[in-house]
Amino acid sequence: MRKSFIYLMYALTLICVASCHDDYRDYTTTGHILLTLPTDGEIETIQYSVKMMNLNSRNTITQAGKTGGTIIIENLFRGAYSINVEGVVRYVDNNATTHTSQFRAQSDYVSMVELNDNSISLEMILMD
Amino acid sequence: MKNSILILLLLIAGCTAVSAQDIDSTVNRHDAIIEHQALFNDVHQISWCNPAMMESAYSHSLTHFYLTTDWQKKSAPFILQKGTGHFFAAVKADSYIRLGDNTAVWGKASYTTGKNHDIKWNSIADYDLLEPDILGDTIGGNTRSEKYVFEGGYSTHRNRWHLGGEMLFRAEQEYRKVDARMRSIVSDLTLRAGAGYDIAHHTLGFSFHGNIYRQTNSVDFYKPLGSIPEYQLMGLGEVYARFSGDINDLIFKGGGIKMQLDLAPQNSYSGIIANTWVAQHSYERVARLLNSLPLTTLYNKEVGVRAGWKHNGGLDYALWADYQFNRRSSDQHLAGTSSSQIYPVIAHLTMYKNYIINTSLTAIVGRKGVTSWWVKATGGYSGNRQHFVFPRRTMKYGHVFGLVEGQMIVSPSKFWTLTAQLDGSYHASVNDHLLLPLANMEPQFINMIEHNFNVLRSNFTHAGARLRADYHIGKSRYSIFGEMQYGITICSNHETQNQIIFSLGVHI
Amino acid sequence: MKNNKIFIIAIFAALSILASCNKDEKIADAPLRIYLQLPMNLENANLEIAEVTLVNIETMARYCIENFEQDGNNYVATAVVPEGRYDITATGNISYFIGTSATTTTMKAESMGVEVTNSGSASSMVTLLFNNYNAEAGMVIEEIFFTSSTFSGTQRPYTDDQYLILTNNSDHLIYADSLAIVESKFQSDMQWELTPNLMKDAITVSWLYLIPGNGTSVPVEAGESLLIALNAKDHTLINSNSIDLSGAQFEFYDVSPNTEFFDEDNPAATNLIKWYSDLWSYTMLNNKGSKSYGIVRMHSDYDSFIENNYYKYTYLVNAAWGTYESNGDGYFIPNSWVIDWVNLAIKNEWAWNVASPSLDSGWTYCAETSSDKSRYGTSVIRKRDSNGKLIDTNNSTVDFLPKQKPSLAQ
Repeated sequence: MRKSFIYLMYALTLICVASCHDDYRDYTTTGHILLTLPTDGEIETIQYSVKMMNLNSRNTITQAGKTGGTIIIENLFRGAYSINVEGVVRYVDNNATTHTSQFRAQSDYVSMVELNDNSISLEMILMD
Repeated sequence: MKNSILILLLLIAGCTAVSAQDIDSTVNRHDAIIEHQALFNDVHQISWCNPAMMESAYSHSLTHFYLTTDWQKKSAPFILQKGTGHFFAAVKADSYIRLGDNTAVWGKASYTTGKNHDIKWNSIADYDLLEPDILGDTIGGNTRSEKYVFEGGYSTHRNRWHLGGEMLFRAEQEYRKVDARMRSIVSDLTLRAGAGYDIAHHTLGFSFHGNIYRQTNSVDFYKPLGSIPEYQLMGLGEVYARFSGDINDLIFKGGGIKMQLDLAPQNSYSGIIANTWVAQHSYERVARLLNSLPLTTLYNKEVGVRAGWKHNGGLDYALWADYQFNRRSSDQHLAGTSSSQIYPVIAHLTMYKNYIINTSLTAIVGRKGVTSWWVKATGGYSGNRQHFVFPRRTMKYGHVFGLVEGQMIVSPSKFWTLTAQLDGSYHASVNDHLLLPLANMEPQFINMIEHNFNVLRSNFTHAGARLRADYHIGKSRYSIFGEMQYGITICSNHETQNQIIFSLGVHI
Repeated sequence: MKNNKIFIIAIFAALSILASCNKDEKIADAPLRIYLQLPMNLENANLEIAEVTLVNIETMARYCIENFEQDGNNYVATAVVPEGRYDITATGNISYFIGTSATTTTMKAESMGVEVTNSGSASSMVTLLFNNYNAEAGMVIEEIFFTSSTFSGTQRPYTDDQYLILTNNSDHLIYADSLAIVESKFQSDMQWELTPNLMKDAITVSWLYLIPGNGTSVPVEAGESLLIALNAKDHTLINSNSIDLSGAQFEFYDVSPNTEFFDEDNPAATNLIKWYSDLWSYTMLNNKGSKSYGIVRMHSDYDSFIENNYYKYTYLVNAAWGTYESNGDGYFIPNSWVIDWVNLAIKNEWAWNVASPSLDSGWTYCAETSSDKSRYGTSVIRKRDSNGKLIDTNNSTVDFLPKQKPSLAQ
């Protein structure tokens, strides 16, 4: 009887431990946004300002800078986002002519929840 | 439901009458009242959560049937979500019946109806249990409430072993008849099973508690242009913005388990008091309109310890320390893009964390007799720290407190038993801190958090009195009693709470 | 023995209390390196003045940084502020060239939720890119009633009751004085190959009227509107098919040199200040909808504008007898000054948009063809979203409801 009691306590303790819930603490990730041209050509440089709105919390982050084609957003809170990118792109077309053009690129939904690789591709809309 | 409660009340009355006649007909009613009402019972309150320990809780049977009213009024809400007060009326029965030397049964049944006043930022029932994962709006208003409670337990003692089981069930509905028309229906079932073993004039106990909880909740607006947003609150004023507004049909479902170890001296022996328990409960908030999309899950982990010494003699005394730690946390379930109102959950993040600590040292001394008296003093610390991960929000406050309680039970004649109880306490704030992303918050959310914080970090002074008179009717087994309780709490930001409870009933 | 037990209990409780007390952390200062970038499509751009404001999200404390040094293509400064999260906004006066003309404009940039920490050797940094878009919520054109009414019972146009409604679509007060209302020089049904072509950087206007005031004379609360009438009177007294515009706050008024066509001055409405018009008589909106309209925040005084923003161009004309070159002139306004722009067109005769797609990538209409008489008595009205906010995506095709009953019509 005494042994049964001890076994019962042991089993219930195990149930308790097994049912314990761990926190989800992987809060941030890195996002890669690849900007592509709508026409043939090679991007020289992109000057961008990106605004990302977390769809679940409506929190917005912004980042600006220059890139050769991929925007890297570090310490990005994991979640679903809408993205708006605005800026200026300098590119060379197939005739070796250099163009400087304002652009926009946007997506209403992107998932940025993977812990390592969150890559998306957005096509630029040239505005000049 | 009302019929069920009546049947249950009659059942308890019947059982009590029969058992009292057969088994306990010679009981001294005065002694029974002292035994059941004694302040010294606080020593065992935790142990008695183990149903196996209930068999030895009292040597006298006692059953109460009574009507009670509970009126509470605050000069301003201490916590906006809890309102400015309430008025409840209830019919209640509670009973502890010994069935021979080795077995006891006990039970409770009650029906309570009433009104909560001026609730804001809270459109659900059971705020204390489910906060901060609640639904709320800026209008609020009074709510009506109906509650049914059933409780029954059985405990027996064979040789050195004690075994017991208990069931507690609560059904409640809270609703509002004007916009915003919230309605919550709660069912809450707890089952407890326990065992104990006598060893060296002590009982070593172990119990297991399981709970199942469910609340369905909705908010409607009848005025065609009168709807306002219902916010899916997530802690410290943060909202699940994507599903705030008109996602007003929710289910809170959950439950949990608790395990408890107890060591208590047997009746009439001195010895060690030791209790320790661990518990985990979780409550998932689900949006019914979005194909049962889970929005958040609240976890409440609890660990507690009581350790002390109880002395039984001409003068009874006990000294013990309590330590209780709660870690509450909430996971947000991140929804992806929808297809026909079906949202996949793409990730989970633990966004809210709440640490609650209560630690205290208590001493009680007193004597049981024709005139029984006890004095209890407690000193300790209580602290609460809340944190929302992003955008970063923090609230913390802590109090050191002292509490003094005194009780006297006298019998001026063989027909009367009088109980008087006084208590006073003071909570002095020793630390507080509030950090909010003010620049990114709407003013109404800032006001809500700051209002609650300003009260929570206050110093509190409380004084209370309880008077009870029992009249034992001649040679019958029945006594009638009346009880009045009054309490006043004043906090240092000049807000006041008054509470009066009247009870009138019979006991057997 | 008993004393020992009491002692252990007391120690246990005391340790618990100490464990639960947290010392208040002192917030240390930390450096933040701020890089300001100018759009690289601006020619010979220079940052004349810059002001960067950091607002601590948690304490609301504000810090201003003004001294920036040029470092290559960036302008750099270091702010030393308490650790925390900041919303950062920058305003800069930027000079650059449009064609051969030097111009100056005020541009803005922002970065929200920037974390400033004192993490060892690497200081926090943030880059802000000035942008010359004005897509953010602000003053917008809510409605243009350019077609005018007809005389009651006829299809003869009654041209005096044209109007525009400007609305504050933001959540804050906006002062409307020094805003200008402009009409495009070029028509959307007639595409020209311009030399030089400034369109990617500027609009060209045929007239420009300024709302008068000293900077705070015309407050417009969030959600409120200004009614600007061609002729601010109750036109229903003359033509029952027309509109009562006697409540207009402003009206166009021209002292016409042409005695055949003179304007009427209604004293109840304030007259807009005419800076420029290439019309010979009094001003009217193009009632077919082949010209476009905008609101502009003037960053220049009158003399500087007339001196610096003159635009002379040539264009090719395709005539029956062949193609020949012609020339024209007007005044250009940098795109970065434009608050809101609405491209209008004749639906079946649209040839091009007369402003950069960055200002408006679409167009709206009332007339199906240039001879469409059903256009009279119709208006273009901006849509609203579910929160009642006017929709402004800089695409008039999706932002506007074409050919609507005017909102002020009976």
